[in-house]
Amino acid sequence: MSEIKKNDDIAIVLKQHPFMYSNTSSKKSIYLRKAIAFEKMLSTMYPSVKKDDLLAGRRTIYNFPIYLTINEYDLANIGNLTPNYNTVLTKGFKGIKQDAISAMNDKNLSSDSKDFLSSVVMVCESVIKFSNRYSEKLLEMSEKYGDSQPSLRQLAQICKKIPAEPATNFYQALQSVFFTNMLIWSEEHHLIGLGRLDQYLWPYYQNDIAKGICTADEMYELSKHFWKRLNEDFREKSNVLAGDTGQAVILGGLEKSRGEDASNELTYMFLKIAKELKQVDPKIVLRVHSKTPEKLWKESLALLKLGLGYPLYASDDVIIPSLKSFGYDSEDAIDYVVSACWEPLIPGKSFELNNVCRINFLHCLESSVNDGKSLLDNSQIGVSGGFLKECNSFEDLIKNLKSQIHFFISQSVERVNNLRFVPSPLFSALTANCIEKGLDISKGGAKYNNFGILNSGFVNMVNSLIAIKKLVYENNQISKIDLLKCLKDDFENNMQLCSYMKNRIPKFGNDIDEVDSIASELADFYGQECAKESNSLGGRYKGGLGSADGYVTDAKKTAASCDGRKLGEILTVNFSPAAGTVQNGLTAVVNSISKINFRKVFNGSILDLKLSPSFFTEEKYLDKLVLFLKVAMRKCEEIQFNVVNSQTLKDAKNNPDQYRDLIVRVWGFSAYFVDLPEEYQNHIIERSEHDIQ
Amino acid sequence: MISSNCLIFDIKRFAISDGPEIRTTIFFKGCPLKCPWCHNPEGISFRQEFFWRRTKCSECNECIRICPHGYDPKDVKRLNEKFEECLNCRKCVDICPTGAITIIGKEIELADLIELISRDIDYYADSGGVTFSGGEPLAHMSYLQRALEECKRIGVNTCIETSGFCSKEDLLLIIDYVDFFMFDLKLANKEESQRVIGANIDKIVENLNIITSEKKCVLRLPMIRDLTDTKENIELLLAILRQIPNKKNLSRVELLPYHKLGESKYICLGKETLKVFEPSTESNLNCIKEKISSLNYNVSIERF
Ligand code: SF4
Ligand code: SF4
Repeated sequence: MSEIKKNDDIAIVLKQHPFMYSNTSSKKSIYLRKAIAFEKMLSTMYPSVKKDDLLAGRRTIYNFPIYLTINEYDLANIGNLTPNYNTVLTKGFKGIKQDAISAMNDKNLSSDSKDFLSSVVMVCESVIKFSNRYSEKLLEMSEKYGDSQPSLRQLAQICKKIPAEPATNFYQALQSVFFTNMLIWSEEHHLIGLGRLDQYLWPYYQNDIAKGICTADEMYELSKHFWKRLNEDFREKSNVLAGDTGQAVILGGLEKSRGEDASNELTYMFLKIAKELKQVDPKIVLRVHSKTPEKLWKESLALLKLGLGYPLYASDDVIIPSLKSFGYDSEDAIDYVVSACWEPLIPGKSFELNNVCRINFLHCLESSVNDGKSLLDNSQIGVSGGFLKECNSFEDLIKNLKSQIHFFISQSVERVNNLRFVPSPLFSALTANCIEKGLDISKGGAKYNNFGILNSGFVNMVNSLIAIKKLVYENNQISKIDLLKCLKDDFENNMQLCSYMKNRIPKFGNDIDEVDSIASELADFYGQECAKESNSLGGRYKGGLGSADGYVTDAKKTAASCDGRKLGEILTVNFSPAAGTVQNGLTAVVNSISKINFRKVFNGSILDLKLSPSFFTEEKYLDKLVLFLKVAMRKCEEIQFNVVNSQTLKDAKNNPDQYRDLIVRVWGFSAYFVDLPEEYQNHIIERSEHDIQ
Repeated sequence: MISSNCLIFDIKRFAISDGPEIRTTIFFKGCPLKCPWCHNPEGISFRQEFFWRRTKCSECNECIRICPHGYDPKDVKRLNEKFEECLNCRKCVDICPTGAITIIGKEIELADLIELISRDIDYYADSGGVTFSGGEPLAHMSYLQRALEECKRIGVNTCIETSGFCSKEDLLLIIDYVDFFMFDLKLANKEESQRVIGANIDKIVENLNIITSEKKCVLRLPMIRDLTDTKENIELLLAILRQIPNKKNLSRVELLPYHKLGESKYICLGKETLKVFEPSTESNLNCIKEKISSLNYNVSIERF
C-alpha cells in the first residue's frame, strides 16, 4: 500500500495508485467484498480539513479498492440516483445498522441476504468510524488554530455524533447530508442528486428558528458553504462534459399532506444563494404547479437571468399524474425528484436507470424505407422488410415505421436486460425497502425498478415524415427512388432539394396540427411499446423524449434526412423544435409540444428554449415571461431555458442558420436575432455583455 | 387578379410589446398615409407584393430557369411593376428552395383568423389578447369590424394600433368592441401633416378625443430628428395633449426614437430606400419627456 501524503490543504487525488485488493479471497460473497473494500478506502482516506471549513468531508481518494473478481468485471456500477437522505437524518447510520441487525434475525434468510445485511452493518460501522476520525482531526486542527477558528471545534463536536445519530438541528442536518453525499461519490457512484433539499431540511430550519438554536442568517451562511463545497470538485464529478454532474437540488413543488404548495423560506434562501454564487453546481430544478406563488416565479427568473442554464422548470401538474398512471403510489409521485438530467425519479425508493439506452428515431425511419438497413452504409440496423417503393400511401410508411420502432425498442431492452449491476450496501442502506427485503439495490431491493429510454432524432423524424408526405404522396415532387438516392448521396447532387426540405416544408413546433399529429401518434406508440417491456428486476420501461448527449453522438451515424439535415449535422435537442424552425413564436412551440400525451412519454420529455437576456431588462417583460411560463408549465412536462450570452449571440451572427429561432427583444418589440441588421445585432451583443455582468 | 379584399401581411404570436400582457398581433396590409419613415413598408400597399430576401437567397437561379418570361425574379422591383402578369404566375415563388422570394399579403377567412387567435387564448390571461395593427387597421373597416365582434364573442381582449386616420363614423362603429388603443401622432402642423404624411390632422385629433373620452389609450410619438421633434411640432403636440378631454384614459405617452430596422425591407420590396432619417438627440428626447410629464402624463422613452 502506498503511503498517503498528508496534506491539510490539497485534496489528494490518488489516481496513480490503485489499491490492490488482497486480503480476502474471492470466495467471500460480493457484498462482503464490497463492504471490506469500502472500509479499506475509508480507513486510508485522509480526513481533509481546511481552515475555513464549516462542513466536514472531502473526497481525497479517487480509486476505489479492487474487489471484483475476473468474472465480475462486466458488472455495471449503479448511479444516476438520489438516495434517501432523510433516513440518515432521522435514524443516523447507527439506526440503519440496527435495522439491518434486526432484519438478520429472520430465521428464513438466504445466505445471500445474510451476507448482504452483514455488509450493510459493516458499511455503517465504517462510516461511523470515519466520521470519528474527522472529529479527531477537526479537534486537532482547532487546537492548532486556537480561538481564531472556533467553528472547527463546533464541527468536531458535530462529527462525533453525525451521521451516526439522527440530526437534531439544521447544522447537524446539513453535515449529515453533506457527509453522506460525499461518501456516495467516494464509492464511485456518479450523477448523485441532492433531492428535495427545501423539504427535508425544513423541519430543522423551523425548529432552530423557533427555539433560537440558529438564526436565519447563520443558516444562510452554512447553506452557502454547503453550496460551495458541492461545487468544489465539480470537474472530478463530471460525466461526459465538465459540469455534467447530476448534482440537482429540487426546490418547490407540492407537499404530501395536503397537496398544497410546498415552497418555504428555504426555497427562497437556496435560490438566493445560487444567485449570489453563480456556480456550475449544484443545479436547481424548480418544481412548479398551478399554486406556485407569484413571488417564486419572479425569484426563479432572477436566477434564470444570470444565464447559468438553471433553474430548470418541472411541471407537477404533468409529472405527478403521469407517474401515478404508470403505477407509482400517489405519495411517492408527489415527492418526485429528477435523475441526472431531468427524468422524474422517486428519491430514496428507486433503482431507476432513467437513461439506460436510447432509440435513434431517424435510424428507425431509415430502416423502414430501406429494408432494415442504414442509408449510410447499408449495414443492418433494423429488422428486415419494408421498402419505400412498397409503401403505396403515407399510412403504409407509418406502419413500417412502427414495426421498426418496436424492433429498436425490443433490441435495446434485450441489451439492457443482460446488464448486471455491482451491489452497493451503502446505497442499499440509503434506499427504502432494501433492508426489509434483505435484497441489495442492484438486485431489485428498491421499491421501484423501472428503467427509462431516451430518444435521439424524434423531431427530425417527424419533420422528415411530413416532408415525405408532402413531396412524395401529395405533390409528387420527387420519385421514391430519387428521394432515397438523394439521402444516400447526402444531397450531393441535389442541394436544392435539401434546401427546399429545410425551408419550405412545415415543421414541428409551429402549432400546425398536420405536423403535430404525426408527432403525437408516434410518441404515443413509442411510449406504449416501452411500457410493454419489462426489465431483469421486474420493473418496466418508460419512454421519454429527452436526448441527453445523443443528439451529438448519433449525428455522424445517421444519414441525411428528409428534413433537409445532412449527414453529420446534429439532431434535434431533446423534445424541442429543430434549430431555426420556430416561426410562430413561443406560444406556438408550447402548443405543439402540448399535443403530446405526456403520460405515455414522461421520462424527461424536456423542451429547450433560447431567450435573449434582453427579455430580462424590464419589469414589464419579466411579468409577461411569468404569464407565459405559468401557462407553458401546465402544458409541458419540463422546460429549460438557455438565456444566451454574448458569445452565443456572436455565434448566431456568424451562423444564422443555426439560430433562426433565437428571439431577442429590441425596441418596442421582439424579433428574430438573425433578421436584424448588423448594427443592431452588434448593439444587442454589447448590451448582453452588459446584462450578464 | 389583384385582390380587393382585406389582406393580412403578418401574424405575430407571443407579441409582448403590442399592448397589455401576451398578445397576438394581426398586421393589416394597406395604409392611407405615406409616412416616409415607415418601418413596415410592406404594410403600406393594399395589394399583394413580391418580397425578396437577399440574405436568404442561395443564388441557385432556379427561379430564373423557371420563369416563362425570362425575368430574373430577384429583380423584385420589376415583379412588383409587372404585378398582374407575375401574380397570375408565381412560378418562381413556388420553386424557390430557400423561401427567399415570397408574396406578402394573404387573404384569411375570418373564421380561420379567429381560430388562430383562439389558439393562444390560454396565454392571454386577464388583459392579454389580440392587437390589430398594420398598415392601418382602420382602413380595413368591414373585416376589422367583424373580427372585433368575433373576438368579443369569444372573450378576447382587443387592442388597435392606429394612426387615427379614418372617418369618425367608422371609428364609432367599432369603438365599443375595442378595449385599448395605441395611437400614433406624428406631425401636428396642419400643412406639414398634409404634405408629409398626407393626413388631415384635425380629423386625427378629433378621433383621438373620441377615443380618449371612452377608452384607455397609449399615445406613441415617433421621434425623428428635425422632423417630428422640432420645437414647433412639440408645442403643437403639447397643445393637443392639453386639450384631451379625459386625461385619465391616456395612460402613457411613449416616445419612440427613430430606428433603422425597417430599411432592409424597402430593398426586399424593390422600393427606393428611405431617405436618411436620424433619431432625436438624447438631450432633446429628455427635454420633450420633461415637457410632456409636466402635463401630468406618464411618459417613457422606448429605446431600441
Ligand atoms: S430560386 Fe430563390 S434562392 Fe434560388 S436564386 Fe431564386 S430567389 Fe434565390
Ligand atoms: S412570377 Fe412568374 S413571371 Fe413573374 S418573375 Fe416569377 S416566374 Fe417570372
